[in-house]
Amino acid sequence: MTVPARPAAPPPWTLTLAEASARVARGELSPPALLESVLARIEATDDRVHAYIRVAAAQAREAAAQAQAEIAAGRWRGPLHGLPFAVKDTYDVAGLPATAASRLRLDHVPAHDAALVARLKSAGAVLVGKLATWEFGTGNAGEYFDLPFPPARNPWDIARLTGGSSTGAGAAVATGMAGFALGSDTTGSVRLPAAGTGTVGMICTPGRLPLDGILPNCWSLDIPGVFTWTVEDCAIVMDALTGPQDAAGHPAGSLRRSVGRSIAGARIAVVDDPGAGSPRPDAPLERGFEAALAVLESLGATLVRVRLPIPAAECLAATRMIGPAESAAIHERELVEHADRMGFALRDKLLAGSLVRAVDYLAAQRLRRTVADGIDTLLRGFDALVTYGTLHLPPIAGVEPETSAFTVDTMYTPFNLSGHPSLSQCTGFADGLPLNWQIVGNRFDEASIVRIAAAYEAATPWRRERAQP
Amino acid sequence: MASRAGPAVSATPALPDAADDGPDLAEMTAFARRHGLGGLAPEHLARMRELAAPVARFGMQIRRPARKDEAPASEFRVTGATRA
Repeated sequence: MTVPARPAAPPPWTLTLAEASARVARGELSPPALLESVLARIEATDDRVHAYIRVAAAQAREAAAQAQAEIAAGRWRGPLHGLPFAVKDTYDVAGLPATAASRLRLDHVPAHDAALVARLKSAGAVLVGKLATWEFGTGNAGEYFDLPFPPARNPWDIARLTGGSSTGAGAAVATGMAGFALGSDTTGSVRLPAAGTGTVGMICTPGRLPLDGILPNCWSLDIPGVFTWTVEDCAIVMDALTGPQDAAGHPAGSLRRSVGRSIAGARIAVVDDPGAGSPRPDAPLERGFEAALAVLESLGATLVRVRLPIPAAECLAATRMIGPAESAAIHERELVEHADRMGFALRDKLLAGSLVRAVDYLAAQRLRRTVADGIDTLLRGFDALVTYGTLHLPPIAGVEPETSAFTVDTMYTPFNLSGHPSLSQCTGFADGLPLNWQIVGNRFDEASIVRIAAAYEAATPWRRERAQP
Repeated sequence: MASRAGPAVSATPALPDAADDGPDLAEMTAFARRHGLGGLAPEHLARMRELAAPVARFGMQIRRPARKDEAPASEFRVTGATRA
């Protein structure tokens, strides 16, 4: 009689942050073993996905060894101690190039860490490397294959793109090449690639997280964001980033405590119509959205269908004044002196921004206040709002107008203009591609977003398998 | 379905003629020179010329608030206030 072989334990890179953290804290998993698993995953995968611009293996091994020594000595720093992460290459990390995927910055090596990187290092997290991005973390919505690094591919189908601009962040987390990642969002640059890669992507209320040490793209709209595989993981990272008090001095509380709480009785506004000027969502996204709503109802939430006060297409038009104008102001010197060395997308945006009239820029900023007040009023009496994220499925690389349409036909810009916290979440798959929706909260109420997203996630099977490119 | 009334905003300004394809290249070159962009390569100036009309149209599509005292949203943060 033969004894059946015990199935091999899944490799550590497949663990969620919550699982890995618990094992590290109990001494069942060492930070170096976890890191080596992630590095092996990168080695086996990233030649097809191109999520990383730079893997800092030596520095990461040093940090993991230090974490191991500290934990062994009884100095456990918290849930992220010894856990691997990566950041968009627009973030400063002391001693590592911050190229922002640009020929203009290949030799730019910052002396200091971005504020959020410093916080994660203080929490004991292990930086694995720098992630792919659109040039300078921005562009004109298209992909032109003219940067010094290849664009990140969508790990669910490497013929497709992830969406930008935090392209590598979504791809790395979806494949387990990073435990979590940091990106930045101006008009969707966290939520769009999160949607495209089936990961969780979250931005907080503006002011909660500091922007110091992130290459600016648009002063009045830029906001950092987090990519994780699960909602609980997102809460863990956000808790570590904000601490007990956020950058604006508001009490932050623990988002992780919202995970596992019932949503019975929650009142949720539903925007199922993108409004005038936007296309209807692709059919699989529409079916996924309605099915996800049914899950919320089955969990006891009350849904009320509403409309946005200003349609998403009008919000997009406003961001087409604000974004390019501010980018052109920020990068004016580069446009004047080095336009020929930029990729087409960045140059196009800066040229367009140089043409924006001040009157139109200010009209957009005035509309922004109207949008913010309108969404505040709309959310009054609701715990949160759910709506579409993208209106299309991830595009095939090199195909237009699909690539640009994936970027601009979204429901993201109203909440960038208004300054409400928002989370992108996977709502299933169609032909192997992830579907998504967006959950929006009242200002400073990230907890309700996490509660609803975690309840949905726990009731659905979409977190069982990572992407296998 | 519940619905809420939208905020009071005026209509968009009169849109420019959609058939207007923007300035000619000489006009664009002069504009660029006046605004410190005279060093752009000819192909970049040509692209800028193509962008001029759509940028103008997008700008004019933005609704203007009816009340003159509705100021723009606040725009800039003080970096020191957010430093970790």
